[in-house]
Amino acid sequence: MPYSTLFPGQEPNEKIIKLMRRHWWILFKTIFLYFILILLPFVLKGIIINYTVLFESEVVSVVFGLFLSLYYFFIITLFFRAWLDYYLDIWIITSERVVNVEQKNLFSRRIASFRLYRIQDVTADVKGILPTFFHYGNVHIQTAGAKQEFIFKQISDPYTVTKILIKLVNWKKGILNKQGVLQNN
Amino acid sequence: MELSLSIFLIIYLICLLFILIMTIFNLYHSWRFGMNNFTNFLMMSIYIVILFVIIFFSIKFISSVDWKSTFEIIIF
Repeated sequence: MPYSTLFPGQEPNEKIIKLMRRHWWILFKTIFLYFILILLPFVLKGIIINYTVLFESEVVSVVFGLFLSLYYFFIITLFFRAWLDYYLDIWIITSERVVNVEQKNLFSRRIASFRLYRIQDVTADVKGILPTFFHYGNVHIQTAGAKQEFIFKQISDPYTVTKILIKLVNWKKGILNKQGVLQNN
Repeated sequence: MELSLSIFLIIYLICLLFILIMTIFNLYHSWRFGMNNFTNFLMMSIYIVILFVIIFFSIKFISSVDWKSTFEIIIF
């Protein structure tokens, strides 16, 4: 059955603060690349017909027809795969934790999360001309302990996300300090 | 040496089987993890419609070819 919640283990009173995917520019680049790939066979066929006599052979025409069919099946399937990679890779900030849902490939999906109070450091980086122009970049989140760092990859407005996260972490730690849970931190 | 054109059709069908497996996994992922929302449903529909368009033109092309005809391979 399809998941009815954004991620498995979502608590009933857990409020979703922000849901993020990669910046639209990343998707646009993929769409543009596949658009070029769709036009490519027509351009190639045009060149071959104009400059060679290859298509006068029945065998070449048949092989080209079958190749074209396979090519478009592949292209549309790979495009849908790329779309799924974009769409199913999500980062969620909730009132309780940060969740990373990543579709690695066809057979691998990784869901990781950690509580807000475990966050020790949040940094944003925007590198390059296009990321600066379109306001996208990475947010690195480091936690206490040996757990690996989380990276929100190529998200929109990383500086704002960093500010939101820092505010949330301070708020959560404040609450836990009042309750005496985080006395040593 | 003479070979039938149908050899290309067999290779084509083997490749198609691989694409079919990829398609099934794609649709499964989309349905299972796509959170049942409109965007996901729309993309799945567009994907399926385009697949059917390609299938339609492929069948049209395949049925127009005489697969019993042969071609000659020259071996040096």
